[in-house]
Amino acid sequence: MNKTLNNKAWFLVLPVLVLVAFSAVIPLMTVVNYSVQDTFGNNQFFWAGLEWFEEMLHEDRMWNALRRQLIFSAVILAIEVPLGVFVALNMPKSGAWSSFCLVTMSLPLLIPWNVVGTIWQIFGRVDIGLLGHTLAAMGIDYNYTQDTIAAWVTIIVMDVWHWTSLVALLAFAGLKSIPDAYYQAARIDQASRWKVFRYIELPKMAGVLMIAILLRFMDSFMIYTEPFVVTGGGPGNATTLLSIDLVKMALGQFDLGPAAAFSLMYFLVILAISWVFYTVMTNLDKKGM
Amino acid sequence: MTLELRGVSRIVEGQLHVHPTDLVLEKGTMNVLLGPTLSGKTSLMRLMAGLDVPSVGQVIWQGKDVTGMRVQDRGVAMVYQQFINYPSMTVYDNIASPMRLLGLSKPEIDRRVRETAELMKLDGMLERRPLELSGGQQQRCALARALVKDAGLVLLDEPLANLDYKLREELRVEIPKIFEAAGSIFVYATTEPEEALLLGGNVATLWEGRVTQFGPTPRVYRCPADATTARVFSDPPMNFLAVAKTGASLAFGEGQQLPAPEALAELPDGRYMAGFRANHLEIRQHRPEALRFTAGLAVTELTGSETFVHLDHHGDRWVGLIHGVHDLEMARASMSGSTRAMSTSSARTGRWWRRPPTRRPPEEDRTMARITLDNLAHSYQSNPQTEDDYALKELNHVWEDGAAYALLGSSGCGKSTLLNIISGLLQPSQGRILFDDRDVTHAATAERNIAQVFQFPVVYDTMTVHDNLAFPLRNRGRDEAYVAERVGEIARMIGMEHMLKRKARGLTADAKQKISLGRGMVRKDVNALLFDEPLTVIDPHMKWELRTQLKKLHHEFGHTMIYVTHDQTEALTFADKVVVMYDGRVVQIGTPEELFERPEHTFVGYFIGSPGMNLLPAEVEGNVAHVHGAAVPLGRGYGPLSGKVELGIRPEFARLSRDEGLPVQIRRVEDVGRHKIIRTELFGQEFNVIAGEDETVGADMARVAFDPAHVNVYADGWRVAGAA
Amino acid sequence: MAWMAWTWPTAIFFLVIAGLLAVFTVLAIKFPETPRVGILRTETTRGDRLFITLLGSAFINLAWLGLIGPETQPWALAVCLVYAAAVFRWV
Repeated sequence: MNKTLNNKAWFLVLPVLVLVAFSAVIPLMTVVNYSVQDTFGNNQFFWAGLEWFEEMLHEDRMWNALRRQLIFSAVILAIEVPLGVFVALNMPKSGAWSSFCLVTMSLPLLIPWNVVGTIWQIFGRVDIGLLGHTLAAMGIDYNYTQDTIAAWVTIIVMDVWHWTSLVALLAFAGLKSIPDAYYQAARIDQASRWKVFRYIELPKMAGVLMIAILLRFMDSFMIYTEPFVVTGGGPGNATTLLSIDLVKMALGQFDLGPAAAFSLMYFLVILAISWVFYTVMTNLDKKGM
Repeated sequence: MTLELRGVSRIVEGQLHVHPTDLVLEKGTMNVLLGPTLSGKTSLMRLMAGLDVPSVGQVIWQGKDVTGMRVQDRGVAMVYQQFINYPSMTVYDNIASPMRLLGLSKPEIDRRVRETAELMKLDGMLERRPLELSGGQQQRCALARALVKDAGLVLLDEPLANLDYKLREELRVEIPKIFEAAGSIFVYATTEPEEALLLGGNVATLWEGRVTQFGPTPRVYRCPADATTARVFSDPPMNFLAVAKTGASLAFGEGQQLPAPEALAELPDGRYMAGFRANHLEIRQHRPEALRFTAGLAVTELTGSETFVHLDHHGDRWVGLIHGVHDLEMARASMSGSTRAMSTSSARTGRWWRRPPTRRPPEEDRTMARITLDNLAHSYQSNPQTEDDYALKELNHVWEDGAAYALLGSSGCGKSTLLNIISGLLQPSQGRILFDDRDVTHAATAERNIAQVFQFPVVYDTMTVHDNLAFPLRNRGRDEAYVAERVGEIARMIGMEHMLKRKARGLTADAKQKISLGRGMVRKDVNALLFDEPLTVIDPHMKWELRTQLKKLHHEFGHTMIYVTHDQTEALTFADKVVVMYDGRVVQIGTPEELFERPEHTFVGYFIGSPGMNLLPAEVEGNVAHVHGAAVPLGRGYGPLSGKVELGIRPEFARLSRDEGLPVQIRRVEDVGRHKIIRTELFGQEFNVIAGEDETVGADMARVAFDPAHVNVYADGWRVAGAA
Repeated sequence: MAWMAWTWPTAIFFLVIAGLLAVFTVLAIKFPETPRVGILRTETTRGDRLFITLLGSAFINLAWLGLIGPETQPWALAVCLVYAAAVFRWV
C-alpha cells in the first residue's frame, strides 16, 4: 500500500497542535523563563539562576502548603472511598429506587465548583447559614472564619458531600458487573457477609476503585475554587492549600520569580502523579478489569 | 470472485496471533474455520474482513489488493455469536437497513427483504421487534441482514454458539441450503467438529494461530495431514498409539507385537504415531484384519443408542464409540481401526462392568438424600391464574439417593427454575420439597448442604486454588488439619494437586470449573451436587475430559447428582435417569435407552436424537399401519385408536433399500464422519435416515424400510403401548 | 516575544528537550520497536523511558539543590546520566 497517501492526516492534527502550543507549551516556557529571573515590572528581567528554587526549597512556606495538601487529600480519600463503597453496597440493585438513587447522587457532581463553595460558605455562616446557625443554637462553638478545626471540618465535609457520589457510582458500576452466580455460590459455601465482600465484591471492584482513588487524589491535589470561596485559605494560613498559596504568591504579592519556581515544582509533582495514574489505568485495561 | 490471503500474518504487541497464512477461498464455497477457543479463528476472520490490517502479507479480493482498505468499502457482511440487531427497529427495517445505506430503490428493497425473510423463515414476524423474538429468530434476523446485502464475503463467527442444541441443529441444516442460494464466499468459525462436518464445504483447522490443513471437509476429516489436525478435528477425541514398524510387524506398548495390516505394507520401517477415531474401535473382532489390544476400562457412557467406552491402554487414554447399548461385563473387546490408516483392536480377559459397583464412603460420612418433590409448582407472577402462568407446572416425583439425574430441555422449559428450587435459591409457589424425610421447602441454601456448579465458572479470583477448595470448610469452622487433608484428597480427585499454590485468576475455564466442582465435593456432608449447564464455556475436547471425570466421581462416591442441560449428548451420557422437560412440564423420566427406544411423547422423540425421530401420519389396524395407503408392519398389536395417529421412527432404525418398504426420494446426503445423514422426502414429507460411514447410497435406492420392533405408535402425541 | 523573557540557558534547555523528542520520533519511525516489560512490570517503549528519565531527572536536580546546594549542581547532572542509563537498561 502507498504510505504517502496517509500523510494528509497530519494536516488534520495541525489545529490541535497549534492550540496546544499556544495554550500549554508557550505558557509553560514562559513560566520556566520567569523562574530563573527576577523582575521589578516594566518587563525588565535580571538573571537569578536557581535562586528561587533554592529559596522555595529552604523556606517553610511551600512545605507547609504541601503538608496541608497531603493531609487534605489523605483525609478526603480516607472518608470518601469507604463511604462511597458503603453507599454502593447498600444501594438497591435494580428498579425505580435504583434509578432514583443514581439521579439523586449525581446531582452534587453537576454543580460548578464555585457554586459548591458559595453554597457551603453560606450554609456554614453562623448568622444566616442553616448549618452554622443550628450548631450555634446547639451550643457548639463553630465558626469557620476564626477556628482552624471548624475551617478544616467545613472544607472536608464539603468535599465529601461533593465527591463521595463519584466513588459510589463507580463502585456501584463495579458491583453491578458481578454475576448472580457468585452470590449464590457464596451462599452455598456459607460465606459470611464480610467474606462475600472481601473475596467477591472487593476483587471485582478493585479496578474501578483504583480509578476512583486516583481521580479523587488528582482532583483534590489541585483543588482551588471550593476552599478558596469558603475560607480564602484562612484562618491565617490554616487552609492554604498548594494552589491557593500559589495564587497568593503570584497575584497577591506579585512575586513572579518564586511563584514560577513554586508552580514548576507543583507541576512536576502533578506530572508524576499523572504518570502513575496513566500507567495504572492502561495496565488495568490490559488485565481486562 | 475469490479471496486470497498471501503470506498474511498478524503480530500484536510482539505476540504472533496469526502465523503466516496462504489461503484461497473460491466463489460460492462454504469455508469452515475449525479450532478451539483462542486458536486464531476470529483474528483470521478480522483480517479477511479488513477489520484488522495484517502485519505482513496481502489480502487479494477478486484479483485486487485490498490490504488496508477500510471494512466499510469492502462489501463484507458479518454475523456474530451475540445476536446483534437494532433493537428499536422492526425485523423488516433491520433487514432493510443495509440496503437503505446502499441507496437502493424502495420496491427493490421491499422485494429483497421479503425474499430473504422467506428464506430465513421470518416472513410472519416482519413487524415485530428483535427483542420480542426467541434467540433462534433473533439470530435468523441477523443472518438475514447479512445475506440481503449480497455481500461477496459473508463471515459468521460462531453464530450458533449461544443457541440451544436443538435450535443449533435446525439452523445447521438450513445454513448450507441458504448458502447454496446465495453464491457468495462464506467463512464460518466454530469450535465444534460436528458442526464443521454438517456444514460440509471446505475446512481449515486452526491450532495456536496456525492453519494446519485446508481442504474439502470430508477429506480433512478422513486424511488429516498431521496429529494436530486430527486432534482438532475429532469429537470424541482422537486416540493415539506409538508404534514401531519393522518389516511386516508392528510393535507397541510394552513389547506387544502384531502383524502389520496390509494397508501399511508400503510404509517404510520406523517409529510412528498411529491415530484412530473412537468409532473405529469395537469391542468384538468385527473384521479379520482388525488388531487386538488389551485395555483397562475407566468409564462407560450410554447414550441410548451408542456406548462410549473410556479406556486406559498403557497410559494412553482412549475413547471408543460403539454402536448399540453394551453390557460390558466380561465383554471381549476388540478394537478395530479404519481400514485406511491402520487397524486396531483390543481384547480383555478381565472383568468389565457396565457400571462399576458404587463404592460408598462409610455410613457416618454419608448424608446423601432421596429428594422428594411433592405437589411442587412455581410461578414468577405473584398471583397466577391459569396454568400458563406457571413456569413450572405441578410435579410429583421421588428422586433416588445416589443416582445421577439430568434435567433436559430447551431454554425456558423450567429446568433452571426446578434446579433453583432444589438448591433453595427460589421458594416454590406451592408444594414441598423433601430431602429424605426432612421438609426443606423453606430452608436456606446453606442449611441444605448442597453444592452447585454454575454455567460460568465461579472461583474466588484472589485466592489460591488451595484456599478456594478450603473455603467452604473454613467457613464452617473446621480445623486446619482436617481442611488440609480434605483439600489434598479433593485436589487429587480433580487432578489439580500440582497447582494448589497458584492463584485462581488466570486459569483456563475448564480448570476453574474443576475448582468449582472440587469446592462442592470438599464437604463430606453434601446431600446433592447440582450442575447448571457446567460445560457451556468449555471447548469440545475438554468437555470429554470433564464429563468423564464427573462420571468417575459419581461412581466412586455415589453422590446424588442433578445436571441441567439443553445438550442431549451431555444428558444422555451423564445420567442414570434423564428428566425431559417441555413448557414447564416433565414429559418423561427414563433411562437413556428408554428415551431413545420408547419416547413417551413425540416431543421426546424430536428432542432426543440427532436428527430427531421421524413422524408419519398413519392409520393403525392391529399390527399393521397404513401410511398413504402403503402397509407398514408393526412389532405389536394395537386396538382402535382415537385422535391424531402417527408413527414415530428413529432415523437409526430406518434403512434405504432397493426393493423393500415405502417409496422415497433422496434429497441430500450429509457425511457427518462416523455416519451419514440421508435427507429424503416421503410422501412429500421430510424423512431422515442414518446410514453407516462405509455404507454406499446408490441412486437406485428409492425405498425406505423400518425395523418393526422400533416403530412406535402415537395418538395425539402420546405413545400407545400396544400388545405383543 | 519580549514578555516571554527568554534567556540563553532556558532556550538551550528547551532546545535540548525538543532535540531529544525529535531524535526519538525519528528513531521510532526508522526502527519500530515492540514494547518490553521491565522492572516496573508494565510495558514501556523508548518514549516512555525518555519521559521517566526526564521527570526523574527533574526531581534529582531539585533534591540536589535542596539537600546539597547550588554550588555543586553540575554533579546532579552526572547522577541524572547514571539514572538515565539505568532507566534505559532496566525499565
